[in-house]
Amino acid sequence: MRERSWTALLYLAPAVAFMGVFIAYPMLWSFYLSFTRYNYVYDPRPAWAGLQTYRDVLQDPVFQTALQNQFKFGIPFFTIAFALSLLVAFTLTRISRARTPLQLAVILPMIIPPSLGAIVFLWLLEPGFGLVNIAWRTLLHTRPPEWFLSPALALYVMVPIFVWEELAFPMVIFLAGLQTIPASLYDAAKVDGASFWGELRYVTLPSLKPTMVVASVYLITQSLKMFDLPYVLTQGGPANATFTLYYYAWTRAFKFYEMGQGAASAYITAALIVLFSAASSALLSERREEAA
Amino acid sequence: MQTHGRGGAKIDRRTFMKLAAGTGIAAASGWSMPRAGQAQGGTLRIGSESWVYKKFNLKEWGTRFGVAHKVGVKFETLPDNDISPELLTWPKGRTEWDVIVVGLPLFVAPLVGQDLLVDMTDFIKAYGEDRFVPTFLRDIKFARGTGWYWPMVPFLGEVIGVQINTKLYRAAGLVDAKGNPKPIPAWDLGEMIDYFRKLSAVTPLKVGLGLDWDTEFALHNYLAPLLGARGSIYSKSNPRMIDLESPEAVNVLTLFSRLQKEKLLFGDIAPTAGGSALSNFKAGLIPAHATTVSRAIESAANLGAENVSWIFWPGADRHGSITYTHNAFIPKVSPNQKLAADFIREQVLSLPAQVWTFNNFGKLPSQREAYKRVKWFQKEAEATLRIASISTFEPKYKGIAKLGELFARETQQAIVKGSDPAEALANIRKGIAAQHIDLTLLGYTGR
Repeated sequence: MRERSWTALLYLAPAVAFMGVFIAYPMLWSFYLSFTRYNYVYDPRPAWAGLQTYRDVLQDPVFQTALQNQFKFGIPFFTIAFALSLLVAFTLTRISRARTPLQLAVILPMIIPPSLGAIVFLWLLEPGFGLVNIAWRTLLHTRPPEWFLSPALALYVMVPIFVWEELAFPMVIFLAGLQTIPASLYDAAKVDGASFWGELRYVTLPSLKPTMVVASVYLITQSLKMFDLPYVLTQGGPANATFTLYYYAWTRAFKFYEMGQGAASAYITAALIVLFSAASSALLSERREEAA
Repeated sequence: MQTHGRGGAKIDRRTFMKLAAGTGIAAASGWSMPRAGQAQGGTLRIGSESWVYKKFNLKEWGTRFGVAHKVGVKFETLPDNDISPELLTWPKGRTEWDVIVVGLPLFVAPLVGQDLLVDMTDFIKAYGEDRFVPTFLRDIKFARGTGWYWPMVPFLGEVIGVQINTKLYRAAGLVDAKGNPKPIPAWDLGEMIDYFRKLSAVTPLKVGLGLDWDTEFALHNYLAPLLGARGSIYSKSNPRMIDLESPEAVNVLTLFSRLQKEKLLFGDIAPTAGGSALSNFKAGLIPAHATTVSRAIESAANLGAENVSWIFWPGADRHGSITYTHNAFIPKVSPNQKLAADFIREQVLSLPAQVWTFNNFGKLPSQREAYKRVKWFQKEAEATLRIASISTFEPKYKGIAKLGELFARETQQAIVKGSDPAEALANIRKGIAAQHIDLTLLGYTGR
């Protein structure tokens, strides 16, 4: 056993070194910074502030706005992305024609960098000559809305854009989940006289619970990490209407050089990701146990 | 002693120790190889933002320098308005660039504050400070001890104004008998709105004015008309604080707010690189666009020189406008400081380079002689030189980034949500206090 451990250590060493340098060390250092006041331009070193940095962030009206915006954005995004990815996956298991084009249409956005995707939509929704607005004017003969200039609209306009960007991965997860459901369950359901909706309700959805947990965690994480769209499209405006938690962390760390605040807000966001993911997982597990 | 590898293969201890030693030697050798940031003898390393390569043709001048001096030249693109790469390496004694050719003093100020830049005062004096537009040199003065110095060299300037589509101006009847565009009326809001309403009537999008109002340009496009209206951008009650309270300040915001309310405004809050208002202007869809006047020459490539010009906000002929510079600077940690200085002198400040950038992209040369040699828009160029010479630059507050965010947020509320402009300005004043925004001035405040 001792002899094996040498070999194991040798093979593990590069990976451990990599993780130590590029993951563990930055995490530990940023966690420390989150308890300090540190402007890396003007301060020679971080100054310990304890929980005060976290208090400053939580009490910052801009952070509170960003948090509200996350809910306003996250709830419709999660609902639409979850339902749509499940629908698309389900459709893909049922059709043979047009299967490949549909798969491609959903998966292609996954390989486009999010910032480039944002620029595509910036041009599609361009007030003067964007295709969407030209179609709007032509068909409806009215002035189109100011998509990114309207505080009421700007954040919600980002929902379908982000759904388009993020649909592929949960769809693939659901597709994999659907393909693992034993055919015998459907056979048994048919024998018991279940209709299409009955199969869906009593066989498909319960069997997909573990998959749903994975998809939910992914979508929650992605929605809380949304950064590219406000960065490219609106700079968090108009009037902070599209300020998100990640955008907040970025502005504090890299525009204001306040590393302590940036780190603290990043860890608060991470805590929210863990919290919502755990809640989602517990909710779905509860329902699975009840069903069992 | 023997160890078991994968699949049960045995490795003896001696072999293991040899492998471990070999790995260690390889790692140590890698450590001793040239790292990023180390000097490369005989090569000038130039850093700049992507737009400078395009609008200043930097690669051309750099390549010429390399050929003339028989040195290698390496170009690298830097992120826009972001000095993090410099901040993270220069204090540690390393640099990946010998010269940076871009940078507003406002954004470069932290590098100056940390004393990371080579003093260029003697360079400019030897070159001839009279050759430069005086305002551009004032913009880059920084305090040192009881005096001041120049830690950078201006190579381009910008002035805030309004680029106009003269074809649409003619269609709207807003030209005089000689065909010159009529200026924006001076600060009767009713007349001003009427002016833009006339323009909107002849424009496909039915708007009168495009307005850049992102976190950077919001301040430019607020302070420029304010300066014209009042002759100062500073508060009467606090001369170091920008004016956020005078009736003229409220008027500026009210104008934009009312234009938006009457659907005469084409607002653009995306980063200026996105340029929605600029793109629509270039497409002939909006008649006027409040931005840097250099954009007009870019637009001339689409609309034709005969259909483009630029004007300034009322009062600019007496008080100037808002101006800022782009600069070249050399890190103290560069081992190629002389080479970098030679490059700035021979290429960056060369008249061909200065004239090229105006002729192709409207960027203002930093040297007066260049204005006599431009190939077109001579009348506008001379007028702009006069305006630039009496213009003002924005204060280099330590907390300018926070102020920019607060300012953009509150003024966007006033403009797009229709909240009270006076209240928006009051909220900014309160926000400065509540957020402890540092208004220490980094630039030199004397004359």
